[in-house]
Amino acid sequence: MMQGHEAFQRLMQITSEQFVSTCKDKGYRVLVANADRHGSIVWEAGRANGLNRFILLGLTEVELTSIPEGVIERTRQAIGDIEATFEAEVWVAADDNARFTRVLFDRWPVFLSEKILGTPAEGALSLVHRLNQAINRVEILTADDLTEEYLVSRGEGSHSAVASA
Amino acid sequence: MPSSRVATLLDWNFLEVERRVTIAGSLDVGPEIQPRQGTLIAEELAGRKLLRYLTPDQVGLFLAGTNRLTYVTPTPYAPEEMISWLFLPSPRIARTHVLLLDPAKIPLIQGPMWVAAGSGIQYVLPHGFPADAIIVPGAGAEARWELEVR
Repeated sequence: MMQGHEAFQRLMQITSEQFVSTCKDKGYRVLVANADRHGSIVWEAGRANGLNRFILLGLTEVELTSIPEGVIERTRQAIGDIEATFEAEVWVAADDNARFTRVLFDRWPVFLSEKILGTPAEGALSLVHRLNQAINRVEILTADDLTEEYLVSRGEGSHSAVASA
Repeated sequence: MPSSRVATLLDWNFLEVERRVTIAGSLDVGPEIQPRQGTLIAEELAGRKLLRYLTPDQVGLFLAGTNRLTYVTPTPYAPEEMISWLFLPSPRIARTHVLLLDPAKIPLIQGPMWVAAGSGIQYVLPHGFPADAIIVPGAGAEARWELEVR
């Protein structure tokens, strides 16, 4: 794990800056940034706009062996030795306090090397574009997309268990 | 009814029905939620512990505690269930271990709150947790290690 590493700290800083600014520009409130959620580092933003709409960005450290060899080789040529590999994911989700949906919108590898200290990683550079696309996607979710039911409905005075078998 | 459903239902019933603690909604969470002293949360939980799940690569990393913002849950889940209930990224990576934390030993805690786009209940530790919050049931007071989830 890279959590004490200077390059890792830089990656977290770049990612946080880009996530916060992109979400705020689109009217999304950042709910959490750079938090450890049971093994993944997450950023989450939300907005009430007809539905409660959410964007979740996750970074999870993975073994280099989980990445295709061709991608590894091209990355090494571009940035040198790879010190850590993360799986980045962007999820879009929505709920109406009773039903919800969540969709994996994008997944890509993020490679960490010393070069990130001078030049932000390719993954971080493309993050703004990916987030903007994800926000466009989450904005078109409708009530018809909410296909899963919460165990307990949420919101003022609406607490009831959905405890059917 | 899968065990995760029963476990979460019992935790909801315990917190909101029996203890009269409001679980914050999906969008009612964030930095604005006032953190409370861990001793107060411990009273609400009446002896229950908080669970911080780990990937295999993280085993041993947090035995000295951490100051990173950290999510925890009161609910025990099997590895194949927690991904969905806690809405965890990278679902192919199993969270195979867990640290049990005594809320009374954690200075500040936010929550409880519902997981957005998931049915689980969670808390946030804004400044992480100290080493002495880690407990191992059945072992001595100084014991600090993870338990395998299986």
